[in-house]
Amino acid sequence: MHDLEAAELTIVKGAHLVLRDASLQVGCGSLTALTGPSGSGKTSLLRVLAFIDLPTSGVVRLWGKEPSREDDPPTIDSGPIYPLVMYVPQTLALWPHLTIHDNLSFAHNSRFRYDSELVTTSHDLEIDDLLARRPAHLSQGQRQRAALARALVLRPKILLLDEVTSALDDRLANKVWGILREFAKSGAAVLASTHDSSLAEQCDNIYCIRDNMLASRQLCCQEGH
Amino acid sequence: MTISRIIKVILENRQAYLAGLAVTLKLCGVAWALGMIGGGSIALATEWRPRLIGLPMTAIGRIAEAVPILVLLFWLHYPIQVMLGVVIDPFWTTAALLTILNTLTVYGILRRAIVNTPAELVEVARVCGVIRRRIFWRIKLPLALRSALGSLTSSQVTVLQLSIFGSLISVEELFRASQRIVAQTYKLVEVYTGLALFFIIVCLPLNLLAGRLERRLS
Repeated sequence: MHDLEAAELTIVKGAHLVLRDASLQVGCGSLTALTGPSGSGKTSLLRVLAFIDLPTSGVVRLWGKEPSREDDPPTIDSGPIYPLVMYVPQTLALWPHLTIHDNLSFAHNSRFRYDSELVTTSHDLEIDDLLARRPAHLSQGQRQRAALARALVLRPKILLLDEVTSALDDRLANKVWGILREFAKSGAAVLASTHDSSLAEQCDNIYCIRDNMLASRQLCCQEGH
Repeated sequence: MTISRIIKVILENRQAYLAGLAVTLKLCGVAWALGMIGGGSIALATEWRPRLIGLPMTAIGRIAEAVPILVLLFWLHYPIQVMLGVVIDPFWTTAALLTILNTLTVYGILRRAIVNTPAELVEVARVCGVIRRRIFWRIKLPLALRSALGSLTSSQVTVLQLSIFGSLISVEELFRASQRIVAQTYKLVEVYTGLALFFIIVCLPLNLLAGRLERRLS
């Protein structure tokens, strides 16, 4: 049983076919890459896997079960899926009126100003000297690390990331990827979209989207992706 | 006409001007306070009862937008009082109208700002496991207030400008006071120029501030 499983997902937006009959599995302890050209449907797929958008057809299962959409947010075993499932969008969506510290602690619902996990995560991602600033005063790379920190402090079981290293230099991108690998090893399933093939190659598995189809690592290699 | 002559006329009739200004400020104070509290409260309540409260408020707002303020004022002052069999002081009729209009305006500005909160900011809060109530009070409302502050400031300036309509039903506010001064002194140019200068001195900085707030906080 995989932590995250999608079966025969089809996503249509308006009159536009985004993805057809896509199936993927992401297991506990694994870091999986999702690649594909711009506009291929990576964000649409991640949003469906995060239960933000509905697929046109197909099913998404968490830990072998299909969450109930009767409630908002969707529930599994009578509990909400969030923040067990966590999604970091490409736009990052940091709350602009809050400092970075408040962005992290608000999501974490921390009672203590200096929660040790928050401190550790921000140190690992090299944003500990940025905590007092607002998102507008950070570079794109700093914002990406802050958005990632906000997700990590929640300790999700399934982490979905949309291009969170696109604005980072090689050193930081590799460092972040290392953090994600460690996070996956601690018992999470991580699926991250990226354009960087060198980062994708470091993952346990790769899925690529091309021509509205999702293919796994072997097919990606055959087709030279 | 020189500025010194305008100032001379104002100083000679300062008691009348101050009396008119006091009534204007009282009118506006009522409309500002009740309008902001009323419009703000209804905007918040609409978040939890969008159909029950939102639909009627939108309908009333549309009707009020369609009717010129002068028509509304005269309708409140004459037909409605005859139908109800009451006689209400024109000051309170004008205050009621300005309050209703300000309530509708504040409601509209706040609701638009709340509804236009970027969806992704609310989505990511949901995905972080934050409950709806907390999302509203900590994300949607603060962002809405930031983006609405400029428009809210401009709308309160508009209340001040609309207050002069009270003069048409004998409210002794600043414009009516100016009319009385003109009737006594025949100095139309100085009096009405002075009145225009008053509104420029008060309203222009506030409108500039509103514009600045809108640019900085949106």
